[in-house]
Amino acid sequence: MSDQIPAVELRIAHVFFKNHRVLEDLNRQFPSRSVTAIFGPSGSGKTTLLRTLSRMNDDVEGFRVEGRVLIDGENIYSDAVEASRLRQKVGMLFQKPCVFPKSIYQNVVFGLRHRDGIDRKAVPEMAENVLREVRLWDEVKDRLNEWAPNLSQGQQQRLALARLLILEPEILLMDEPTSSLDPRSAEAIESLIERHAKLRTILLVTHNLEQARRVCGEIVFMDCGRFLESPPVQLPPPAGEELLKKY
Amino acid sequence: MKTALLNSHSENLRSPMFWAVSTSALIALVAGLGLLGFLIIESVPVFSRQGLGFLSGTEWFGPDEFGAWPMIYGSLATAFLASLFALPIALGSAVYTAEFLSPKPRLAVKAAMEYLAGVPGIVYGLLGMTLLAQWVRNVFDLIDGNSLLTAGLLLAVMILPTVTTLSEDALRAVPRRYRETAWSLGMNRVATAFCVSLPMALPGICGAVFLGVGRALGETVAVMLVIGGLDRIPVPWFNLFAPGQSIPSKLGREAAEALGGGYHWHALMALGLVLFVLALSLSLAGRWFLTRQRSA
Repeated sequence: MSDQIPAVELRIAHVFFKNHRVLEDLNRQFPSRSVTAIFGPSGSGKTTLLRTLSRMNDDVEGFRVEGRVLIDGENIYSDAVEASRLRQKVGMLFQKPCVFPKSIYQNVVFGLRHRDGIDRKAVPEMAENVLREVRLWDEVKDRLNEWAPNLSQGQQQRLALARLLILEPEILLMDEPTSSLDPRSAEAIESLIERHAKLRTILLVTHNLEQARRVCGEIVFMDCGRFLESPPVQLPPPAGEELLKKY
Repeated sequence: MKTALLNSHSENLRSPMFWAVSTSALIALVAGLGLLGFLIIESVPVFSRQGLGFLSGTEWFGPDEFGAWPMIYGSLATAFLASLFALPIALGSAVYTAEFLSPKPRLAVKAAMEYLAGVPGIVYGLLGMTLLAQWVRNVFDLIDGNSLLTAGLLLAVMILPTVTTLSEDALRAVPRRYRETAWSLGMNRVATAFCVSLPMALPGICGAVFLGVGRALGETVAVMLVIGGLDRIPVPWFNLFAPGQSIPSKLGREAAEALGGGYHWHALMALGLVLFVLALSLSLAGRWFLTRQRSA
């Protein structure tokens, strides 16, 4: 991915569900290999933004996008872009972990079965590496064939992250990935975000400002479906204090 | 806790509605058990005289000897043929409807399927007699178009909407989050449908198939009009172009003349018991699969 072209760019983009405009006037660039927190109250449009960037709402009745949503300079809502191809580049981790009713190992390698050019012999090693990355290996190495839904919620979220990372997406969209996790799992995910900050473009939706400060290079505020103009939060900005009280 | 439960129970006992609904449930249970009991009692003379020879016998000549095997064979053969023809189409249609159609066309297809599932058997039978039997006769150059094959084809048409709509329900019952998870891994819709939705919906689809086959086994009038009505195992046994007989069509043809007692009547009741057991087994199997899906 070129460093000159922003990984994600929104140009006067509006998102509608039927006639209701849920995101409006989105104008922003997210540089390559950076971690950006998207911070805002519930209902401000953060999740819709991530789902728009991964085209998760394509089959939702009445969903439409106006303006331009660019990934690596290409409008992802043009007819030339296949959603599945886009999602091979843009991975999404959901707020609530979702593991398939299969074994832990089968979950980790699930997405690989549908990718071309994978060296099948290397798959077990790849699985081990990503499980180590998310700090799950020591907990599951002796029971890889056990049923994944029996894992704790924190373990399931780390497993979901490992399943995504094994596919090496260039852009990682994370929708409140630690919101309902135990401290150990949350810390593992935060640590991974920090380690991947120079490798991928990460957009992290969070309600936790401390977490955003710890792991993100920039914090973007959203409210009522718009980006709010505010400086990157290194220290709480005077203008941000009032805003933060709302959250 | 125990006291609370007891209080709640005695509160129920005071409610007239509780008594109304519990009586309804009891009537349904007694009706089912009563039917089974009636069939068993009426079949006792046959099984006590012929034993299991009744099931394996191939001749249905009164007044003292009856064999059910041609009818059992006819029922199983037509149900098998119906499944063979209907299932691939029904499952393909269900996957397409559930996974690829947008909501409005999907509802239109569902409504059409549910309407077709409710069309009475006699209507299908008349169409089968006038169109399908003629077509089979002409295409396969037969003397008579009424055959096991014709009955199987007609049953396939009849169970197609039921299996399709119930399978579609099973597929739609797979939570959307599993599909979205597959999409987030870069899988396209076809891969998601076949590698995620279909395996997860399989118990429900099996339930739908069992219910459809159950209907095929129990269908009377439509089959009676096109099966040929011959109480014989075809020669060779897999010659499905030959006329045959199923249990319901046999009962439909002879129940009126045998009514009122005699060994012939008991033999028909024993046939009814065999059908009851076959249908009950399928229904229980279908229910077991559906329960598994709901608890998954």
